Amino acid sequence: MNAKFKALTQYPLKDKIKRQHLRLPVSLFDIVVFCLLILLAFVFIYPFLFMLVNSFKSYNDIINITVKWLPREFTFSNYTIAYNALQVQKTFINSLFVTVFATMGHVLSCSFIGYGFARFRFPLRRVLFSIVILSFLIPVQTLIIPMYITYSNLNMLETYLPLIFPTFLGFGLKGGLFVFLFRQYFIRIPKSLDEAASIDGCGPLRVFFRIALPSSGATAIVCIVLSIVWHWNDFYEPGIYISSFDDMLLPQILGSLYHLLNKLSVDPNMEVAAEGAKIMYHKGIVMAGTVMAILPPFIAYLFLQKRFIEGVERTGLVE
Amino acid sequence: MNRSGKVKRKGLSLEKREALYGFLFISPWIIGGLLLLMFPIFRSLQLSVHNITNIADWELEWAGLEHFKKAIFGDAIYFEYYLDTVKSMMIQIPLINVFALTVAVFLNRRFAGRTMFRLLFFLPVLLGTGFIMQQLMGQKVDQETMEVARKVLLPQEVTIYLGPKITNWISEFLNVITTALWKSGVQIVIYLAGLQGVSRQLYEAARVDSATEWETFWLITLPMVTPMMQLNLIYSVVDSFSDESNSLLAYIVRQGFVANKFEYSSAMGWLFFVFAIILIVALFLITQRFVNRVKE
Repeated sequence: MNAKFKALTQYPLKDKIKRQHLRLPVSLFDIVVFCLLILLAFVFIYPFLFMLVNSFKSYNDIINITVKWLPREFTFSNYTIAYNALQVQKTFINSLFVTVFATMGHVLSCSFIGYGFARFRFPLRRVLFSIVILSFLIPVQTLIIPMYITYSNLNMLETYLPLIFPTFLGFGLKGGLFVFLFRQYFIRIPKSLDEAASIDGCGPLRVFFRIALPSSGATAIVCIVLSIVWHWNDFYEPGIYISSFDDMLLPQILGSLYHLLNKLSVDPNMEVAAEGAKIMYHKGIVMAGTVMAILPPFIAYLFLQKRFIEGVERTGLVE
Repeated sequence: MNRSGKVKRKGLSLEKREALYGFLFISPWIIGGLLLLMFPIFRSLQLSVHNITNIADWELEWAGLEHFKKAIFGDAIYFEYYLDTVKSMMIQIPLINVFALTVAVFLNRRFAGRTMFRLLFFLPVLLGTGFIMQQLMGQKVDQETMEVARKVLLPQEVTIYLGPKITNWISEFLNVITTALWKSGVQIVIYLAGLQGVSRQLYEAARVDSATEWETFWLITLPMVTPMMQLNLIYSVVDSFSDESNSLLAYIVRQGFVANKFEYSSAMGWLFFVFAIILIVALFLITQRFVNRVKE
């Protein structure tokens, strides 16, 4: 009996062991994937390296095509020129102000609204929620003209209110997406949690602020990172609403840095130079300005990246 | 008991109370929706069929479909930009999605340095929006990147063999890919989130049945991420519509703010938006048939 059993099991087992021995710890497929990833990573990292390297190059290095990655004359002067031309000390504060308040508005209002859509049943809920999605689908550009006229009638032009105020109502830059994300999260957490709290005499508002909102950390991080990055990078809406030089935001002014440099340029040779030569002449400075402008969201991203990636994996995106 | 007594005293049933709280929570959004969505939509539609006589007091004069007619039949530049935009969208959206899914599948595997790669591949979330893209395009970085990538894929010897025509064709293709890759940040994030949600049991079952990796991808991974794919396709359409580097939108805004033809600009905006909505609804309906709904 025993022998028969052994004979039955032995062969497949042996076969299995053999197969496992044959299997390499790293398969050929893994190596191919790894190489492909490195190639792709290069495409992603190249622009950043390009910016960084060029921002440290002197004019001589930029026009010298043999100098590719290592500047021969390592210079910081691009940064000082860009810093002064962009008036970083002022525009940075402006940008920071808008980004901080707009992000705060998004997280507070979108979680609040998302909770409403996820937790309570009320008439027209589905219709209203599809309008949330629709609001996120309409490009800003389609509605910018009536918005501009409205804000100008409200005397809100030349202030940051048109940029900040909509975020507190769940609109603003891609606000609909954040409402959607929070709703997806709140729909998944067990309802028994708030029921227990409401039996203990907690009203829905308190349940939201004490229990639901603090538990939404991962989703909130995703929204915070995206909101910071999008608000900081946006130059379209600020460009429409703010025209006074003192109130401009950093990315907004960066767009016109090249023209600014042409105006400020003291080099008489450059006055008559061809457009291509001018671009080359200012290349290092423009790159230095760009590096300075992306530094704040980049630092925020580095700090939040671990929790951001975890958050992405846990967001209610996955239904 | 106490609870139901309280409800009776107030004269509100539980459902009504719930509805009331629901409306309380979404009330900021309703205010915003009326103020920041419905009102501008109404105004913009109104503008597109009127002529402005006095902008400050909003005095309008009926113009009928004049602006629409002009945009469709009488503006060669608009027509050209429109076609260009539609064409580049048709090429880029499938590309972005194929790439984003591929990268996400790769990143979902276990290998050394995975964290570092993830950090890298989320960089386009920073890069893909706004001014950085604009600055880099201005410096022709996209072409340079493409040039280097081409040299890696096709060394000099090979290009000589292939001849200039095919080499050019490949270069153009790589150029489109480079920009598509840079725009795929959010899509990679969404796909990765979707992949993380696929149950491990399914993969184990597939392995027990000795399915190859290739089969597993087509039979498990792909069907399981179809909801993400739907979301991503629609997101990509929206993203390319509201992209600042979109020449059509730039033209529309220029007509409005620089040439002061707000009415004409609104009409052009609506024509574009109608196309977007049709495309999005069509995409939604088509993909809806393939989306795999998992019952919770």
